[in-house]
Amino acid sequence: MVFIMTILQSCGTKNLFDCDGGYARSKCVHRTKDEDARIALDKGDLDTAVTLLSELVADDPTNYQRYPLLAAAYAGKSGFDILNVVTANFGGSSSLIQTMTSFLPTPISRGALYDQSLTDMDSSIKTLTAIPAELRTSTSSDKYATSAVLQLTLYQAAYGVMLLNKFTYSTTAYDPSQLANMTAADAAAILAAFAGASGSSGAGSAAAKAIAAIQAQPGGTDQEKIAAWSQAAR
Amino acid sequence: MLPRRIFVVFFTLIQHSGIFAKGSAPVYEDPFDIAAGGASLTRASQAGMIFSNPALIPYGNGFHRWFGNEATVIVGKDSVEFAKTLQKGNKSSTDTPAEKQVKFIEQVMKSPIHAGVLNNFAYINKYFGVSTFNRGEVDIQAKKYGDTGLPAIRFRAESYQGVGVSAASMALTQVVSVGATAKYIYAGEPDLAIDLTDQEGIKKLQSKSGLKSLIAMNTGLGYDAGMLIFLQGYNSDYRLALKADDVGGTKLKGDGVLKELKQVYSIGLGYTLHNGIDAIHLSLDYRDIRKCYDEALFKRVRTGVKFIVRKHLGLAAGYYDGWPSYGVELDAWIVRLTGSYYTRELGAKPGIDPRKVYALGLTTGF
Repeated sequence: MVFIMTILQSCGTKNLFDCDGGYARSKCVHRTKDEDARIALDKGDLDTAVTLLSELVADDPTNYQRYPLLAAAYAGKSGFDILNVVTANFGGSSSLIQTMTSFLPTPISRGALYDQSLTDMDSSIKTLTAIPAELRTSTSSDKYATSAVLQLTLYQAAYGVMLLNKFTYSTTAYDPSQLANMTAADAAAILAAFAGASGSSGAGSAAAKAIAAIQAQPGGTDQEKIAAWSQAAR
Repeated sequence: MLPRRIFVVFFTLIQHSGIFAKGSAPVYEDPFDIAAGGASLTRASQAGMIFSNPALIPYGNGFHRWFGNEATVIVGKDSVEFAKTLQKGNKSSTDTPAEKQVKFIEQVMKSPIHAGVLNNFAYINKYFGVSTFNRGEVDIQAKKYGDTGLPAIRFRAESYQGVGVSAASMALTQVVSVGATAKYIYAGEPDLAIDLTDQEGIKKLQSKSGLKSLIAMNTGLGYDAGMLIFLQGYNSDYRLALKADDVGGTKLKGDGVLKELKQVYSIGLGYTLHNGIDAIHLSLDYRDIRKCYDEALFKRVRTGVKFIVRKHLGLAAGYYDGWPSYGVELDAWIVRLTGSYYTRELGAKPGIDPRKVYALGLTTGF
């Protein structure tokens, strides 16, 4: 009876040997921090995944295999859903802004948390660029390297659009009047993001076209050109 | 249009791609035995005896023990939930086609597809047993965040077919029995994980040689030996079992990746309370004593209980792979229905990759 009650007590939700299971009397099979981070990602617990992976990267900064995973966790935390990219059509008639804004977080969807989204996306980019450039190539046989290249393209394009949207949306509606508040540093950051994303892939090609279109706009400053392009491209 | 291409490749993989990795478990286990924690060294169901411990064969009533067929279907709980979601559909939703597509992919990511079949056809008498067996399970899991942070898919399968022939005999009156099984195995364990950016893996899948190596099966002849010490009382029995799986190591030949089944020693303890019609059997197995497969303890310790009521109703509960398992069996003379629920931990540690499964079996025989 004791045996049966012990079984029923668990109700099938915990493994007898699970470290999280609370069965202190059974021998615990410890998971590594990498495994815990993996589980957190699978569960969509991105805060925990970022914390664990950040610690792992800090402990062993030359193990670059973890960087793309940490970058993906930061990007997910920012509101960037990679599955939307899988179904997006960057080669169609829509502009980069239209395509990406359709699934990226905006000040409307994130409200006061939008600046945090930008910070997380920026952290994602910084994590990937911390991998030495010579190791970050699309022709590498290392899976993490090719993943880093593709992610960097996507995140830089996304960051450029998100930064621009900061000046075209209020927390309630599309509001291009805020473009007047864009500083030279903001404009430079947007252009740098698009330039970093430029390449031959779908999003990369769209970013390159965006830069060419911005340069072709009338205006004396980058802010004016970006503002003009922003309104024309929507 | 990289993303579109990725999308197509991503779902093409589901159709083409394939392990659970052979561990200390026998090549064939009866689902009701698994429901009782998989502790089958001291008590196993019909054909299960041939593969769990051939020394169990001599114990029972009469010369004839079993002749019949067993067919079991295995379905992952997540797969069932997924099917329910598909059935409900998304007709009333105001989502755009792209949003529906993303929601569908997200649902696929949340619901690993796990399914399988088990079959055996066996004849067993007091001294001898022969059984064909077929065990196949497939597991397809898509992850939003693969090992490199991009969506990835993993295809794992295990396929074991073959024949087992056992001979067993009592020694030292009825206290000790010894048995041996010779088994011919035809087995494959494809395992493939592909990230979106894994061009090598995608190329491999698209080539004939790549596909051939993925689904290649190996064959081999192996031997098991078992011993049972059985102390029988008026209302209670005590059992101690010792088993050596794949004596000397079973070498497998072929193009597949599975090349050897390692020699494994296991020990089991059993205690039965009975009154001639009803019985409660408690069992505990400690598998792979020498840790040849380097499996964690939770995979090697199996324990459970079988409660047989009036010889026709069986209830089982236990711990299999460290997770609770349950089962019920209704024995209507020549037809037996079995339902089991258990969890297979596909990860090396608890909680990493569990699969909750239902197993429904129909047995006909006498």
